[in-house]
Amino acid sequence: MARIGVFICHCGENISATVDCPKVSEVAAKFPGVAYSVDYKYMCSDPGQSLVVNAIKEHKLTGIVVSACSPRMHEPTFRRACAEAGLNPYLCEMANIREHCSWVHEKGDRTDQKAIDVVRMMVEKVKRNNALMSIKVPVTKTALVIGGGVAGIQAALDIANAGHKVVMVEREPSIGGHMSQLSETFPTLDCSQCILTPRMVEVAQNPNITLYTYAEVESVEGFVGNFNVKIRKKAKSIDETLCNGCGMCTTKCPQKKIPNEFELGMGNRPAIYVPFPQAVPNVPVIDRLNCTYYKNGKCKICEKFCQPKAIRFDQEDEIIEVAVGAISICTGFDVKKTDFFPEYGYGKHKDIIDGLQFERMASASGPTLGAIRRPSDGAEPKKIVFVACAGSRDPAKGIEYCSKICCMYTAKHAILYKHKVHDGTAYIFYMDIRAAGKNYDEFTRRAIEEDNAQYIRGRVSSIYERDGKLIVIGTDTLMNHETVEIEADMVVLATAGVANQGAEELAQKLHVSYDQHRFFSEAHPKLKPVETNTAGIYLAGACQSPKDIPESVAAASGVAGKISCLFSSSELTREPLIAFVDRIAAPDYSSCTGCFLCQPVCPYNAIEKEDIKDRAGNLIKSLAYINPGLCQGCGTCVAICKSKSIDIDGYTNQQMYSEVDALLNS
Amino acid sequence: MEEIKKIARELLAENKVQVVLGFEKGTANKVRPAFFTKAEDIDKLIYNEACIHNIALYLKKDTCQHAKGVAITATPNVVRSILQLSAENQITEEKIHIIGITHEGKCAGILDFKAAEEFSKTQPKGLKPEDKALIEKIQAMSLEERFDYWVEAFSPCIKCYACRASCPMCYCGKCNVETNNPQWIPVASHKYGNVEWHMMRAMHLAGRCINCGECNRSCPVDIPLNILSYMLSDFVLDEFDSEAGLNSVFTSALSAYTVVDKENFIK
Amino acid sequence: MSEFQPKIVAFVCNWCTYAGADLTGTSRIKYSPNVRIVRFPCTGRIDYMLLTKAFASGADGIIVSGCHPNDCHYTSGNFYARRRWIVFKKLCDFMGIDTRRIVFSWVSAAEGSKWADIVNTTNEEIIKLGPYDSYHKLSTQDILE
Ligand SMILES: Cc1cc2nc3c(=O)[nH]c(=O)nc-3n(C[C@H](O)[C@H](O)[C@H](O)COP(=O)(O)OP(=O)(O)OC[C@H]3O[C@@H](n4cnc5c(N)ncnc54)[C@H](O)[C@@H]3O)c2cc1C
Ligand code: SF4
Ligand code: SF4
Repeated sequence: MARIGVFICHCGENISATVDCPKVSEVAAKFPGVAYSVDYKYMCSDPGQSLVVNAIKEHKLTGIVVSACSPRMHEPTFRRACAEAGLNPYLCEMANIREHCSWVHEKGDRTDQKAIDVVRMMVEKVKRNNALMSIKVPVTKTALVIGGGVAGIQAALDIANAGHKVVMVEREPSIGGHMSQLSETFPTLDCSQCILTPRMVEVAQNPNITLYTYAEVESVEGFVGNFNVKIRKKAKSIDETLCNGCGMCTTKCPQKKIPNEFELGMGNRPAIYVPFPQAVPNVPVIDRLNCTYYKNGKCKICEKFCQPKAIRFDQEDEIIEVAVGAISICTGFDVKKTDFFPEYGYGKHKDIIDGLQFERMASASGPTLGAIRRPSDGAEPKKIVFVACAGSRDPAKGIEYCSKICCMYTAKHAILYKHKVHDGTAYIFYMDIRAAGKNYDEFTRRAIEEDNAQYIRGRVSSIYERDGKLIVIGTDTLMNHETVEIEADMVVLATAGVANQGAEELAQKLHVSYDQHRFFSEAHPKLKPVETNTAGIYLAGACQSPKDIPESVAAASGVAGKISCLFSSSELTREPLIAFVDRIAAPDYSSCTGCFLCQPVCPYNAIEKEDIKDRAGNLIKSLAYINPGLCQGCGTCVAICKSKSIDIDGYTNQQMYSEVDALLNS
Repeated sequence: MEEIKKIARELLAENKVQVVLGFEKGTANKVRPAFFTKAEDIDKLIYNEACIHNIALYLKKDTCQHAKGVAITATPNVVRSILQLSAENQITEEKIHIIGITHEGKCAGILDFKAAEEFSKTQPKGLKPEDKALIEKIQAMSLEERFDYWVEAFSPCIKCYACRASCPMCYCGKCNVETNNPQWIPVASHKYGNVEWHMMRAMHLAGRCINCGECNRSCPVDIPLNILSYMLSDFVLDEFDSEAGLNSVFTSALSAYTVVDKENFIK
Repeated sequence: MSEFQPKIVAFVCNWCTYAGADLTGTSRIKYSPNVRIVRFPCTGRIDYMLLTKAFASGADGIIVSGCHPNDCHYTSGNFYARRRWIVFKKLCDFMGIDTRRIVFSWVSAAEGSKWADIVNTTNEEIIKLGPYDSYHKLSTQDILE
C-alpha cells in the first residue's frame, strides 16, 4: 500500500500569496494513498528539508510529492533529501505550483483548484514510480582522434597531456591537414609551418599518443566509455620501423611526373613519396596506382637504393582493433575546386586558381618558392582579381551558408600579393566583408589602407579569356550597379569550404548525424557545440562547419576538456530515465514482435536486435533491445511501439496514464 | 490452375517446402484456406474468384512458422501482405515461395521478393470506387454528423476481434487492447470502448494497411472499419509518398520523417 | 461563477515548452488557470492514446507542445511526433473528433509569452465551443446504457 507524503511549499509568499497552501495541504491529505501532508514556508531551506527527511522516516513514506517550484529548479534538492532519508531518490516527484500556478494566475478558487489538481496528478504518478538505480558504465580511458589536422593535433596533445592515452588516425601519409599547406596565417601573418611543425613533432613524440597515418576507421561499435574500433592501416609498402627517412628512394624513383596533391597539382612528385618535407612521420609511401613495379611488375629501383632495406612490396593492409572510451572527430573540410564554376570557365583557364593553390604559391616551400606566378606562362601577374564568396551564400549553387574563412584569407592574399608584387594591383570582389574576431577587422582594413587592395562590392558574373588576359565582368553595387570590367593577369577564387570527402560514410559508421551539407552536427548549437548526439563522440574543427585556426583549436581544447572530464573517473554515472523493452518468460520472451519499426526512430541508434536462441543455437525470436549506454531517454520509441512493448522509466505508460486519469476525479 | 498445381506439387515433392498454403473446396459450395503438406494432396488445391481471403495471415501461424519452407498461392493482396510482413521483419525470403496469381487469376509463376515487388507495382491497387465513394460521403458530412456516423457505425461492435484476427498486419502476440495495466481501451463493447478500439486499430495500421478488406469481410456486424485504414493509407501515400506492400525492406511512414513534412495546424 | 470554465490539459516536452512555461512564470505573465500541464521528456514520447484518454477523462481542450523543428533536445523526436500528429489529426477529422479542441504548437524555452498566448487563446476558443459533451457522454453516460 502506498504511503505518500505531500509537502506544500509557500516559497515565502511567492506561492502562498496566491495559492491557499494550508487548504491544498488539507485536501491532499485526503487523497487515496496519502499518509502525510504538510505545508511549510520554505521547503528547500535546511529546516524544510529536514522536515521532509524526518517525515519520510517517521511516516515510513513510500514516495513524496513536493509541491513547490519547477522541478527544473529543485528536483535534485529533494531527490537528495529522499536519499538522505533512505528513500530511493526516484520516488520523488514535484508538483509545480509556482512557475506554473501562483506566478501566472490570479488569487482565487480556480487557482487553488489548479494547485490541488496538480498535486493530485503527481500523487497518482508517484504511486507508480519505480525505485531506480543510477546507471554505471565502465570507462576505457583511451581516446580516439580521427583526423590529424590542427584540430586533431590540439585535441590529441591536450588529452595526452592530461595523462590519457590517445590513438590518432590520419587518412593521409602525414598529419598536418590544411594548415600545413598554408603560407602565412591571418590575422598575424605568422608562417603556418613554423607554428604547426613543432606541434606535429610533439604528437609523434608524445608517449601517450599512438599515431596511425595512411589509415582510416573501418568500423565502430559500442557506446560511451566502451567503443570498439577497427582501424584499417593501408599498406605503405614500407617497414616503418626500419625506414630512417633518408629520402634516397624518392630521388631515385623513375616516376617523376605524378601531380602532387599537396601542391594541388602545381608540382610533381614520384611514386614513392613523402607529401611534404616537414611530414610527420617522415616515412614515404608507395602510391601503388602509379608505381612502375605495381603497374608493370618490374622496377624495384627504390628497394635497391634503400639502405635499411625497408621497402616491402608485399605488405598488406592491416586491421588494428582498439578499445576506446571517447572519440573526437577532427576530419576537417575541403574547398570546392575551380571546375565547380561554369561562369568562370569550369576550371579550364590555367590562370584561375583557388585559394589553397594561392597559399601554395605564396609559400616559401611551395612550387614557385613563394613567388606569385601565372601558372600558364610563369609571368608575374600585375593585375590580380580575388573573388570572394565563390559558391558560398549562393542557394542556386546549393551552398547557402557563409564559408566564413574566405573574407579573411582573401584579405591576407591581397596583402601577401602586395608584399611580393610591389607594383601590382589586387582587386577584390566581395558581398560583405565579414571580419568579426579579435584583430580581424583591423586586418582587413590594413589590406585596404596599407596594401591598397581595391575592394569592389559586387559579384562576378563571368570570366573569360581574351588575348592572354582574363576578362572579369562584375558589378559594383556601391556605384549604381555599374558593370565593372577588369583585364586581369590572374584570378583567385575564394571557393566555398565544403564537407570533407568521406564525411558521410564516417558519420554513418559512427552513427552521428550530419547536416544537409554533410558537415557533422553538434548536439546543441549553443550549449553543446562540441558534442554530437551520440554520447562519448565529440567534434572539433572544420568538420562541423568552415572554421579558422583559432576556432578549430579552441573547439579541440574544448573536446579535450570534455573527454578529460569523462575520463576523470573509471565509471560513468547516468540518469536511469531510459527506455527498455519488456522481457517475459518463455515461450514468448517479450511482447515485442520484432517488427523493428522502432529502430529507425531512435536518434541515438540505441535500439539493437537481440536474438533469442535455443540451446542448440537455433534462432527462436529476434527482439528489440535498448542499449542502456546509448539511450538518452526521449521516449520516441515508446510512443511508436504498437504492442506497447517499450516503456521508459520516469515516464512510464502507467505513470502518464494515471496522471491524465487523475483529471477525471476532480 | 494446372500450372499452380504443378509448381506446388514439385515444391513439395522436392521437399523445398513442407507446406503449401492455398485453398480447397469447403462445404456448401464455398472455398476455404488450407495447408497442404503432401504432394498427393495437391489435387485438392483450387483457385477461383471465390478465393478472396488474404491467406498471408497464416504465414504467421505455427504450421508455417515451424516449416523450413512454405509455398503460398498469392493473389496481389497476398503478395502485398507478404512484402509488408517482410518489411516488418516477420518473415524471411529464404522461406517463402510465392506462387503469384494475377488479378485476372493467371499464374505468374514463382516470384522471389524482387519479382514480387515488381508484381506488386504492376497489379491494380488503390481504393475501389465504392470505398472511395463512402470516404467521400463521410468527408462531406458535418463534424457532428461524422461523429454520430461513426459512433452509430461502431455501436453494433461486439469486440469479437474478428477484424484483428483476419488482418495479416495484426500479428502482435499481445494486442494493446488486451493490456490492462494501464487499461488503455475499456474492455466492454460500449460506445466509448468501441470508438477507442477502432481508433487505435486505424492508427496502428496507418501506412501499413495493404487495403485487402479482410477486416470488413470478417466483421459479423458489417462495420465499414476498413474505410478508416484505407483513408489513412491513401492519406499517407499522398502526404508522405509511402505505400505499404510494395517493398520487402523496411518502410513505414510513421517511423520516418522529413524536415519539410507539411502541416498547417501547428501554431 | 456560473460561466463555463473549460478543462484543458497540456502535454508538453520537458526541454522547450515546459521550460517556456517556467519562463512565463518567472516573467509573471498571467494566463488562464484552466490548464493542467503534463510533462514528457519529448514530444516524441506523447502517445496519441493519451489524448483521447484526456477527452474521456473530462478534458474539453488539449494542448500539445514541444520544441520547434530542428530544436528538439533529442534532435528528431519532434519530427516523428509531427508526422504522428498529421496522421492522427486526419483520422480524428474523419471520425468527427473535434480537432478544434486539440491545439498543436511549438513553444521554445524562450517563448514565455507565446505560452501564455497559446493557453489564453485555447481557453477562449474552448469557451466558445462549450464543454466537449459528445465525447464525455461516450465515456460516462453511454457506459451505463
Ligand atoms: C585558402 C585557405 C586559407 C586559410 N588561411 C587561414 C589563415 O590564414 N588563418 C586561419 O586561422 N585559418 C585559415 N584557413 C582555415 C584553416 O585551414 C582551417 O581552420 C584548419 O585547417 C582547420 O583544421 P582542421 O583540423 O579542422 O581540418 P583540416 O585541416 O582539414 O584537417 C583534417 C585532417 O583530417 C584528415 N581526415 C579527413 N578525413 C579523414 C578520415 N575519414 N579519416 C582519417 N583522417 C581524415 C585529413 O587528411 C586532414 O589531415 C584557411 C583555409 C583555406 C582554405
Ligand atoms: S519494441 Fe515494439 S516497435 Fe520495437 S521491434 Fe518490438 S514490437 Fe516493434
Ligand atoms: S527512449 Fe529515445 S533514446 Fe531511448 S531507445 Fe527510445 S528512441 Fe532511443
